[in-house]
Amino acid sequence: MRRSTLLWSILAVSVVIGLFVVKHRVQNLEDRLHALNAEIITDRDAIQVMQAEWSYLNQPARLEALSKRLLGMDAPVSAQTVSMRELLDRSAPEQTDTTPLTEIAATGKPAAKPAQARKPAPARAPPAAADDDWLKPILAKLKKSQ
Amino acid sequence: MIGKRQAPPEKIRIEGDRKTAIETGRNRLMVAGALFTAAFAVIGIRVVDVSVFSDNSEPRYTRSIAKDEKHTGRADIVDRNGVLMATSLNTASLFANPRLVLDPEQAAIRLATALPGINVKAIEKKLRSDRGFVWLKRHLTPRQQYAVNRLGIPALNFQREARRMYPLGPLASHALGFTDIDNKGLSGIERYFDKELRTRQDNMALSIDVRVQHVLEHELGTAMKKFSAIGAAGLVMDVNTGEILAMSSLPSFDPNQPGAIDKDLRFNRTTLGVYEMGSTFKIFTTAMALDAGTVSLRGGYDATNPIRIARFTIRDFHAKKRWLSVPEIFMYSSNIGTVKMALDVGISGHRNFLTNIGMMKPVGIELSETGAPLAPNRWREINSMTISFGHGLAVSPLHLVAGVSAMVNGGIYRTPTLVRRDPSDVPVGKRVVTAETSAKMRRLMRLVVKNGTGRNAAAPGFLVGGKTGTAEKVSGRGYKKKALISSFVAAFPMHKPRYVVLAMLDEAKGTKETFGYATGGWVAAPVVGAVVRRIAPVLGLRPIKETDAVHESLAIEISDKSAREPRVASH
Repeated sequence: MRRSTLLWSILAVSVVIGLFVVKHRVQNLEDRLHALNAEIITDRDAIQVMQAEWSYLNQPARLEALSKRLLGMDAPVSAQTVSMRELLDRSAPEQTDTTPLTEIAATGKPAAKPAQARKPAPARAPPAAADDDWLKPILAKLKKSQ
Repeated sequence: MIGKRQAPPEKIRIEGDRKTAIETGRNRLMVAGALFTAAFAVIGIRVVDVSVFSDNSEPRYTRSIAKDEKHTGRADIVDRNGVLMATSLNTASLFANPRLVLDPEQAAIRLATALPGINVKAIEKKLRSDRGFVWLKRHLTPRQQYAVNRLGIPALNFQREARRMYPLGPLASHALGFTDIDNKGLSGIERYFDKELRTRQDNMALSIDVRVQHVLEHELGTAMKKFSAIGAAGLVMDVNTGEILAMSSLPSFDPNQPGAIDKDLRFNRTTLGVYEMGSTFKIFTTAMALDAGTVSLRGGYDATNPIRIARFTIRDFHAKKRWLSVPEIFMYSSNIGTVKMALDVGISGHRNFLTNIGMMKPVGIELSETGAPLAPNRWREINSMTISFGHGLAVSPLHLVAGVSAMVNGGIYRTPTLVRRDPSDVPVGKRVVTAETSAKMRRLMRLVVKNGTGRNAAAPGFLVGGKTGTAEKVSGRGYKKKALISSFVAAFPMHKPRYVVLAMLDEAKGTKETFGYATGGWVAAPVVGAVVRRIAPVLGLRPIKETDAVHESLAIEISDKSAREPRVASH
């Protein structure tokens, strides 16, 4: 009888203490949630403001004035627009009679057939890969930071 | 040693009255104990029930915010590429409790350092008043709020309020509209979609492209200043989807300052204003005649003499005084020839055709500011004659653009829209002319820009085709000679039209450069040309090498019965 009473009272006390601890913890968590919610709302407001500011700073009229004044840009004329094919066609003949610009041209066969000279696509592939080199460390860094 | 254990004590036997008393006591104790056990059992069950099974019924102190939950009331409006056009920002409004202000004069002066432009005397007066609450300034910017907070004046406080902002300023203001201080839409899209914007969770995407919109507004504004016009209107429409990419009515307003918007400024010339459009209507007359088969491209009419009917005389502005073929009638914008074309189709045919392309009722665009066309009550021959060259029927510029789109896109009329359409979800539309007629109209419109009255609209590489229009404004019962509505409506690229562009100037005055002319070909056509040159690359159109073959494909053979002068067979 004594022993069981003792057991029960110990149980009761520990339950009370446990309840108190849990309740306290829940309260803390809820407080934290509340604070986080408030923070989220503030951040959302800030994001909204920044989006509006972004749009405001990107007003086409402003961009036009700035690019005219600072970059000397102007509306393009149709002669400035060239298709990729035209560009390649135009640059191909020059490659044959000036110093070789690409590895393949350097090692390559003499431009016996003009048809070959007009196909610079494979010749462009290696420099394209080399172009990526300088990007790689930046990309790696970006990945790490993510 | 241990003796016999003591015998257990004798059981006490109680008998008689005492026994019954104890029995009763025990029974009562049993009943009370049972009651308590039952009560505790009920409480225990309830505890388990509350804590384990029904925690939802408990009001929660706080809850987490859903990821996609919006915090502001009114949905944002973005353009077709997602550029923010209208948004709701939570701003702080500054109020004060004057009773707590220690030194009103000093407080007002210090406030002025944080909020330049406020009236120090008025603020001081407010702070001296014997009230518990006064507004000092509503809708502060975050920077201003920070500056005020830094002052550390104890009686000041902030109230959060949502405010509608238009970060692009006056750009596309007529299409967007604006809201009042309670965020209620008062015009434009804001008004038409007021209810939807209140409840919508995601952004609303318009068909407007802010880059195109800027180019159009800029070029129109330049022309308006140059020719001292009182107003201007412009539209860019995608002929295949019916989307409006740009809608500009000048002078415009800044929707961020709803208080300062004049009623005249709010007037949307592109949708609410109805005007007699002049010669641009010849596009419809010619298409109608070609579609009805009353005349072919090789046919023509005698335009030697002006037509006299009732008290009117219809003459040509660029009179050639000879027989003209249909392409020539269109190219030189001959009123006489066009009138004869319309009469051959007949009055009811003419009327039905115009009804079909939506010229008799307001355009069903998503704006509440749409003007109803002014059409004659009774359609007589004289009405048909004047309407054939764009007088006597007043429509909005949007009517015209929607109609012209149908003429060049293969003959399908689609109601213009300001809401972005998914390319896979384009309405079927309504066929109004045949594909062949549409192809002929494209060639005719190209001819106008290449050799006719619209040469100023040329944009190399983009094969612009269009039609000029110049109409005298109605004043009272007659026409004002010097007040013109000069317009130019064009489509490009003409071999496979993608966009229709309209520019219209209200009461433009000629300058030295235009030799005093304020006609559509001199004042509005250059605007269209400049707009096309600038927006075509933005819209992803590549300029086409204008080789002979290209010209050939859009050329028209002009038959010449008069043969008074040697003429080139193809243009």
